[in-house]
Amino acid sequence: MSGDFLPLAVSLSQLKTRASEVTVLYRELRKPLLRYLVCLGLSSDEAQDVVQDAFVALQRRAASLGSQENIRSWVFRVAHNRARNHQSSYYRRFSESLDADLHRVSDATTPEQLVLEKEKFRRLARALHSLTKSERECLSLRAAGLRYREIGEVLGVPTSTVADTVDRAIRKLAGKCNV
Amino acid sequence: MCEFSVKLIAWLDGELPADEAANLARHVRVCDECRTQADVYGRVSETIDAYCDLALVSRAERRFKSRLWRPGLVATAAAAAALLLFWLTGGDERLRALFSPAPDASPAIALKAPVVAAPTVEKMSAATAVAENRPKRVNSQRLEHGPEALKIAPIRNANWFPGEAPVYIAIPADALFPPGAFPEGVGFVADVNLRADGSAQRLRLQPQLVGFQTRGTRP
Repeated sequence: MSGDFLPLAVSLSQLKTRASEVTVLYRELRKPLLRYLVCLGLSSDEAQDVVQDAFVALQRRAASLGSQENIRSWVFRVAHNRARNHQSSYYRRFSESLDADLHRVSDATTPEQLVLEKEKFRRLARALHSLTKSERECLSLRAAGLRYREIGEVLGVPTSTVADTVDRAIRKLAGKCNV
Repeated sequence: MCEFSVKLIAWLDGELPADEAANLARHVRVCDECRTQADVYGRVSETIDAYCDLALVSRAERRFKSRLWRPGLVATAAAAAALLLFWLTGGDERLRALFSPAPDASPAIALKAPVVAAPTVEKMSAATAVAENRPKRVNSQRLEHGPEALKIAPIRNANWFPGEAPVYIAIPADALFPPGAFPEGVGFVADVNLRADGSAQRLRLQPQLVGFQTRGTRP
């Protein structure tokens, strides 16, 4: 993340006169957005398109002096809804094998550790595939760094529901992954 | 099952109010079951984060590879490699030789590069030097109407202005010859000699592979 931090409660009308903050917002949210969309199963190209669409929508909304308290959750919600247009690939790739690229992010220093890491990710992929759609969405948004309240705004559900869903999903994964 | 365990995940995510979080922190320090559960949930969360990072890296890598192997890119790379190999093995020189004219080519357009003797410096007396530099009489009648007029003047740079660089003009082959007469990429460099009054005296064309010839000081 960049050193600049955008306050969460920035109204869209303020963005019109604070163009630099849109840039900061883009730098701040681009990677978490891509991460979320890719975790949902979108391809890299699709995720890039959705992120771009979300920021174009933000620009239009700011120009029309719309009002929104939390820009971050608003952008995520737009991206989430745009991602649904890619229903054909939405969850299809979620359990796709990522073994070949594991060494890029793994901290394993020995082949044995790498094998264990691979096995851990395989178990997690299978466990994630067994979750419900809302549980996967909540976990993906949580992994993108959103708070429960923001996840609720993105998905249009109460914060308490998000807390229950996240709790249930984590317990399921803990039981199946054995990490 | 400990009654506090239902709030462990929210506590790990920092979603509990401050006073509740402080109470739970104190409890976890003394409750082995909750501490173990908290460790497990923490590891699961870290694994999910790592998995999402891996997915992002993996998809970006696949995107790059799929773009790299697009047919258009492959064809372009192959064509570039073939042309580079052609140039490195002296193919442009062979092609130039193929299109160079025979020595007895039409005198109207001399395609062969002239052989210019290297300048020599000779010692001469002052009288000889004055005689050499004296303006010579020109038999204009003989030059204009006599048999000598049909002969092409020897190639020399007598008409260049002293110290002036020659003027080179690049002409596409399509402008001089019917389409298809020369392969694509072949052009000509025209070397024009001008008389003192500015009229054209001689035009010399030299075939060149456009884009493969180092032009040096030519424009």
